[in-house]
Amino acid sequence: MIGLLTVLSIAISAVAAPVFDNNVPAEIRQQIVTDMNAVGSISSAQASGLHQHIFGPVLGKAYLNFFDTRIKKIGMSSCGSANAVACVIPFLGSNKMWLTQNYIKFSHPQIARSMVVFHEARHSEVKNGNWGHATCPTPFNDPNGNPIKSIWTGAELAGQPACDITPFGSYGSSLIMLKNISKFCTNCSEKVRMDAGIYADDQLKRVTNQQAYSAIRQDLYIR
Amino acid sequence: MKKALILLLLVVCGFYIFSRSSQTAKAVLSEATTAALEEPVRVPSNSVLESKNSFLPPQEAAANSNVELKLGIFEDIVLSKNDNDPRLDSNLKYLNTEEKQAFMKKYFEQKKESLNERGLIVFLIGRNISSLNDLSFIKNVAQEPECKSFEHCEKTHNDPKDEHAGVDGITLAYPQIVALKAIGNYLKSNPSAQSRAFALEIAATASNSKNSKIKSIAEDILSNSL
Repeated sequence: MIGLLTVLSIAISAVAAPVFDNNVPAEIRQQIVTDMNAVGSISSAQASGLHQHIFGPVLGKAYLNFFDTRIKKIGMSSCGSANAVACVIPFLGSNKMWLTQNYIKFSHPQIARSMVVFHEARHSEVKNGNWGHATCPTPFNDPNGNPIKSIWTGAELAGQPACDITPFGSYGSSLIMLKNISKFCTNCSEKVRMDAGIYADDQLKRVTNQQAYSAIRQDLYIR
Repeated sequence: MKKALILLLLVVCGFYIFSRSSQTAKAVLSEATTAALEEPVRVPSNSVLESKNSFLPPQEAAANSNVELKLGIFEDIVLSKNDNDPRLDSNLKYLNTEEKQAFMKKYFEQKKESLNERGLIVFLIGRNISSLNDLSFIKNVAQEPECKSFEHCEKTHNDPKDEHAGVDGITLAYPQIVALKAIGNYLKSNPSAQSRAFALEIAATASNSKNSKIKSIAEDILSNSL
């Protein structure tokens, strides 16, 4: 059954799909294959300029190609966090993605899992310094002037390495992917499109460089 | 003898006709009694607005109920965790009043930590708000206490790593955010509805939320609607 699911994923992608470590539970394999197949089925006739630059067209095949050219193996880890669902740990191999039990345990919408997975895939790019995060500015406020805080610790994110200063980083690229899905996907369910918009809009706050922020706004938010 | 036979036949026919009409009457009576005894599923509400007045389009009011079928599809989708299941926009595209009641009941049967499942139900009801009862349900969801962590909504779970806390924060407030999105869409597509004030009140209350994500979405809705 697992072999069949893997083959299904390969069938859609132009590049070989990643290989699972033996200790990846069947339920987790099945879920990520289901999620990647959902992403792999996306179809659209439009794409924003930034999306075209990073991923190509808003098309399932392009997303799978993006993922499969970067991630070659999938293993299990805690990712050093009680709430993580996935991570890339460059010193353990940049082309390996680690999933946690939370991938199936926590009740995230499907597009949220995909956003994390594509964010992490961006971190696999050694030639781009793994698109390391930028330090969030001080002060770091939302558009209404309220300090942006960690939902877990309540601490302000100002000064923390949890931002991007380019549209092409992990936060920027994954939000561009989702906002394009939200706006242009022609065969996604209404829920997926709504969810993609919700998560993308929220993540835009993490792009703190004014020029980068304006570029994304111009590309996707201003008609 | 012949006359006696005819008489007997008439008596038998008469008895048969009487018996049939009596059974029909019993059946009608039975249906009426059952309907009267069956309590509609009530969504907790503290408002007089939980009126039975609906603004249903006639075709929706007349639609046949498929409660079991639709709940079954919902369960299928929940099991697969595939939010891109096309049945969401075909079989579950429109819910009539009875089906909505069943889904509202289903909402409260879900664990609080089943955030995507709860959000999905809010989405299904919220994309076709057609009565004050629907709005009351949306209001109740929007005003639920925030879920503090994925494993136990009542317990905070400190985690110093914050890389995906933005995603986590949205998911933890997902049912409330979907409720607000439904309100936003309702206000946009019903600019002159009588219930508009009620919908605005829901957004206004949410704009005072301690949760920054809920607050921010509610503020956007208000600024686009006033």
